[in-house]
Amino acid sequence: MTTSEWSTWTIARLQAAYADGQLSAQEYLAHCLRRVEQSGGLNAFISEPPRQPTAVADEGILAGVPVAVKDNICTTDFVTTAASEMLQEYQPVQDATVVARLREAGAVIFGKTNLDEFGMGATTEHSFAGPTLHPLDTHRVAGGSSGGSAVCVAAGICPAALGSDTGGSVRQPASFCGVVGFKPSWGRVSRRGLIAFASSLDQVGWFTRTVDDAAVLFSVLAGADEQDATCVDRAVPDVDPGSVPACEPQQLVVGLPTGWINEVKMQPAVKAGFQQFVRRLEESGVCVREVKLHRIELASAAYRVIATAEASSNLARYDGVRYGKRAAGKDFDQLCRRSRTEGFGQEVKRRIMLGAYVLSEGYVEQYYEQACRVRGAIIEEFRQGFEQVDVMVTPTTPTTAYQRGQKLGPLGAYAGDEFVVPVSLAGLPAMSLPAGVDEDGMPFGVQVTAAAFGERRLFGAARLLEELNSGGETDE
Amino acid sequence: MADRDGGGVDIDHLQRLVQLDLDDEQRRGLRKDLRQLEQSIEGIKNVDVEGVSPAYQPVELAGRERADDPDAPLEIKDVLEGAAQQQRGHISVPAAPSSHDDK
Repeated sequence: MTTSEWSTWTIARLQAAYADGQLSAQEYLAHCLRRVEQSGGLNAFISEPPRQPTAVADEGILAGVPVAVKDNICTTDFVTTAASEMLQEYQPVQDATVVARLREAGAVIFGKTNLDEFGMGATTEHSFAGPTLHPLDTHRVAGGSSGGSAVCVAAGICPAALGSDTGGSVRQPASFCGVVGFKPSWGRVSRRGLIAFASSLDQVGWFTRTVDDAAVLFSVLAGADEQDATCVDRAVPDVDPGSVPACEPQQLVVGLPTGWINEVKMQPAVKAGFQQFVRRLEESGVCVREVKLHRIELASAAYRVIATAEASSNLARYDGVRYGKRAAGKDFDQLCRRSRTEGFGQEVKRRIMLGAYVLSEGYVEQYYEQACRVRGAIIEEFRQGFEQVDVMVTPTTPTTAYQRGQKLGPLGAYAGDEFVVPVSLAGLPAMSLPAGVDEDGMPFGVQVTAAAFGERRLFGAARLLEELNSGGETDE
Repeated sequence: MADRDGGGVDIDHLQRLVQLDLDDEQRRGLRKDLRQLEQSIEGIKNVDVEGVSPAYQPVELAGRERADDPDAPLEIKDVLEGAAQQQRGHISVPAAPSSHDDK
């Protein structure tokens, strides 16, 4: 065994090594800290984990497991900046519920990762801390907005990292970086302490190396939170592999929304890779059935309206008074205006203005209310679709990682989000699984989606698809 | 004079609403973005969604009351530490201008 192998270990493998005395948590954490130093050029962190020895819990399902956390999730032992000058020195007084649950399970919070400011972006280039780079090709972006967290797992820094997903911000970087990215159903996991971007879309998600590791975090993080009224009070399914093994191919019905897939312009290698993936499904005995989602082409437009409207409303709280950046001003109005003008980056200002526009008098009915009705129609179409199939599959992203500095334009980034945004709009659970690489060796993923609160079915299907993608080899 | 684009958007008004100052370049960029946004969302304006209730969030939420037990409040000193300026145990800000003040 070499220490370089440790960088590929899953949570299960790591815990087995702890249990049989193969290595101690302190040795492993020291290894992870060396990986942080070796990967420093990737700029994955806004706050790196502390160099001094960390107290490690002996008990708990995640005892001694380092988990990096996206820097828009509140932590009492690290500043929480949301990658914004506005919150550059913000020290939360409470942990987010997900962070508290990680700590209770014995995890070590392993630094705070880079993101697009307030989660607004698809490249992790819109950060006051500078861009996060792709670990396989530093001329490319890691994806976003949870790019730093994706890189932590992809570069072997730690086995798991939390992100947040508003319109694909976990699944898209997972696809670009070749790791597993999971977004639970909206309402399944507490958002208390997640700095809000668009509240009806935001959801904490996570990156891992395997589906089983994603299930471990689900067992720790899912469930009602009395301090978050939007976190629903319903039974959390057991998704442990013992309880939900990989589906038998003959028992799985996979929906293929071909109308949706054919609408999206894709990189040829990604298209070919996805077609190959579907053929593998069919050859293994999975029933692949076409599903029709007629309104899906309206999803991106509805998302643009809803996300910018909610962002404009949520970010109104940053006034320079209670916390965050305060600029000088002769009166309150000037202080507030200057604090916001100096504290927010370009992309955030742009989205706030667009949101104010769609919410302004005369437009709110025409755009915002209509977008919410379109969303209702899309939710209903998905619901009917999942009466016919167990899960649906699409590519996660139409391309592999973009070149850095590529001008995507106001709609360009959204065009790359065509497969992930409708799922967010409907609040469905979804997972991006590594599915192949293009001619340059850059990864791409497939997205598996289940009905709302259908995580049990999702994990069973994802385990089978993971096996098929790896040519039948199972991890460890 | 209000700064309007072809579609009648009053950028000055939007700026006031969201408490941001934009420079000329940002205003030009915003006008272009607004036109593109308007074109890209035009499609939803006339979609027939008659009878569909607006989904303000993806899941129906039921109001849930927590137990009527007092909870430990935040420590005032912790809250004050987040603010840039404090005075006698309170967050301090310059006075808001009254409606009679010149801006």
